[in-house]
Amino acid sequence: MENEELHKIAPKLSQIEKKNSYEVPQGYFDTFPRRLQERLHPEKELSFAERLVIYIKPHFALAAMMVGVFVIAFFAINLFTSDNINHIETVNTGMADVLEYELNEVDEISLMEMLAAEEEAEVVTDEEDAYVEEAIEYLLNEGVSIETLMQELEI
Amino acid sequence: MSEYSDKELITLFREGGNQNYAYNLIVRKYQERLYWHIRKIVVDHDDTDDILQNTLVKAWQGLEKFREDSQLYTWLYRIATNESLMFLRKKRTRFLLPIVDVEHQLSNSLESDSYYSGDEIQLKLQKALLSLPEKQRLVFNMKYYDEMKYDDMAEILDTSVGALKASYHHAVKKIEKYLQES
Repeated sequence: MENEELHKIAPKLSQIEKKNSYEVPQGYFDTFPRRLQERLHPEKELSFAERLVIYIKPHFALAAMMVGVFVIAFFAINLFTSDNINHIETVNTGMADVLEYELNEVDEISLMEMLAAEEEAEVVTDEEDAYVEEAIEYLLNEGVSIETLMQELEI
Repeated sequence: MSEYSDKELITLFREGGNQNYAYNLIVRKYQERLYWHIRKIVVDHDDTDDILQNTLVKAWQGLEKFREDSQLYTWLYRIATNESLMFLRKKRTRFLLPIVDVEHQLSNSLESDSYYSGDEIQLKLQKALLSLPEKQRLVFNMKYYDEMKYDDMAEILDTSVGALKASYHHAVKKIEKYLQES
């Protein structure tokens, strides 16, 4: 139907501008082919097992990490506590054994003699010191100079 | 980029390894024309988007078996038209009551449609169109807006050229009457 004919049978319609008044969202035709492709080739649907693995993977990793921390902590505590205690106990046990051995090997009389000898040695030392003091005093009174005295005594 | 002819696109589609590329070219060539064809039937943008996707998905599925005894574009239009009419029928059955007029509902929703920018006279024309029987509205849109040849329309709608001319004539008279009375 030509425009002239349309004007004859529908004058009001022919006066209206022929235009499309419908609109689309901005960029609709640019993005449509991509959206269509996504619908045609959706990503492979995962099986239940695969989805389960994906879901529990982070939780599993966290649990594994916690187990690792506990294991390391356990060994660390063992290393720095029980081992040292054992070592100290071993040392203590060794000293006790030596004392016990000495007590078994040395009788009481010998021990008393050893102590008496030590006391005697201390007395002799005291006597020697008193003699030296007396000698120094005598020499000073006899006019020996301090320098000479020091040279002789090698002080 | 020079536009491929329909025949070239079909040949490209049938060559090994070029299916996706050829299909994309077909989509880009026809998406707008098909969109506006569907939009004039169902009015709403979101419904049009769904139907356009369904149309092109069906085209993808059927392109392998497409016989070249019809043109690619009339074949695509035929799918789009059938999908749109099926959508309107489903919409009608959803209401259950036959007195509910889907076209009347579409006419009312047009005024609040954010993707419609027509002035008062354009709105009146669209309302006049929505008052037409389904087939007359279809024929009017294809002839008046798309300026399609009767032969192509006959191929798309599977109707004779004579019947189409009659439908168009009736549609024009009814619209004119609507415009004069309102």
